[in-house]
Amino acid sequence: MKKLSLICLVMFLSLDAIYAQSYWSYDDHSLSLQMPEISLISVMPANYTVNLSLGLPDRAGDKPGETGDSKDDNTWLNYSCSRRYRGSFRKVYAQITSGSVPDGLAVNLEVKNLQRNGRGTWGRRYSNSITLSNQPQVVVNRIGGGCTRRGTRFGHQLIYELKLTDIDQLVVDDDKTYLTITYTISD
Amino acid sequence: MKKSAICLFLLVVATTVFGQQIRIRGSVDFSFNLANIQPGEDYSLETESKQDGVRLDIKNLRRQANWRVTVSKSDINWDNNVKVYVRRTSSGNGNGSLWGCSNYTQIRNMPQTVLQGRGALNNIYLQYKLDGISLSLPANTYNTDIIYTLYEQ
Repeated sequence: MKKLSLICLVMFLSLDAIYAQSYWSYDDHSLSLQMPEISLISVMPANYTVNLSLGLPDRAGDKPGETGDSKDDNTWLNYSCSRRYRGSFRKVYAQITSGSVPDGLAVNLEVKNLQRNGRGTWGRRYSNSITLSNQPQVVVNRIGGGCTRRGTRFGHQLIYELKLTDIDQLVVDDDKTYLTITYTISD
Repeated sequence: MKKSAICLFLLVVATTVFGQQIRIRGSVDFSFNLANIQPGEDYSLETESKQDGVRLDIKNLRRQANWRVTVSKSDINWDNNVKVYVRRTSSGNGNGSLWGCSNYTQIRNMPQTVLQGRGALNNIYLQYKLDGISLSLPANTYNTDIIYTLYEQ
């Protein structure tokens, strides 16, 4: 017992000397980084209205034709997306959410692939062209974690075209028909 | 038996009292949300923490002893594409002095000396920077421990 007490006493007295040598202590703290899953989409330029009209025939007997006015290629689809590791790829859907296309006409949509690189894993167009309807249709797929970059001339160029499908059903009862096209990004 | 217990108690107390000590207060949480980004954009590649989010104290040294501090990280769940940097934004309070780490230094998994000095100091503020933030990083919560080790010389 005396021996143990003696050892403790010696250690206690020599502590200052022990710590006077090169010794160390450490402490730590946590550092965390939270990256959420996000999906954001917009059409650029903002607040732009696409105007399409069927060209009038030049001569009697001709049917309304396709002119420069029946096409618009001034809008671009921009998006940003992140997903979980091995999470599902995202898609972009397009649909008419208000208004309806007059009988005898159709609005076609062509979505171009990116002309300028985005960042990360951006999507590919799903098909050459679709006819817009009030049902959602996939226009871009295989979007991983990445973005198109922002602004016109970035992302997927959107080309709308007004097509005459059946002249027999064409009835003009109003100057203009308003449609809302909605793009949705989801799994 | 009683004497032995007293001796052991004194030993433990003395260890606490006399040992030089590094103390860290605070932690760092980087968090992103929809407010940080607009459609089409990526996150900014670099992001910084607050300038005074973490405080480091060095105390219980021998009088005006020289010291150095190493830093390293121990990854719990970390993506190697994200690099972590640290710098000090203050020189602390007290009778001591220090040098080093006024510019950002990358923190690696191997310890490296970032600070050197002499004497005790309190409230050495540390700021952190992350580099490599991108939407390509899988959505997750990433964690690592930042370890500071004090060597009295």
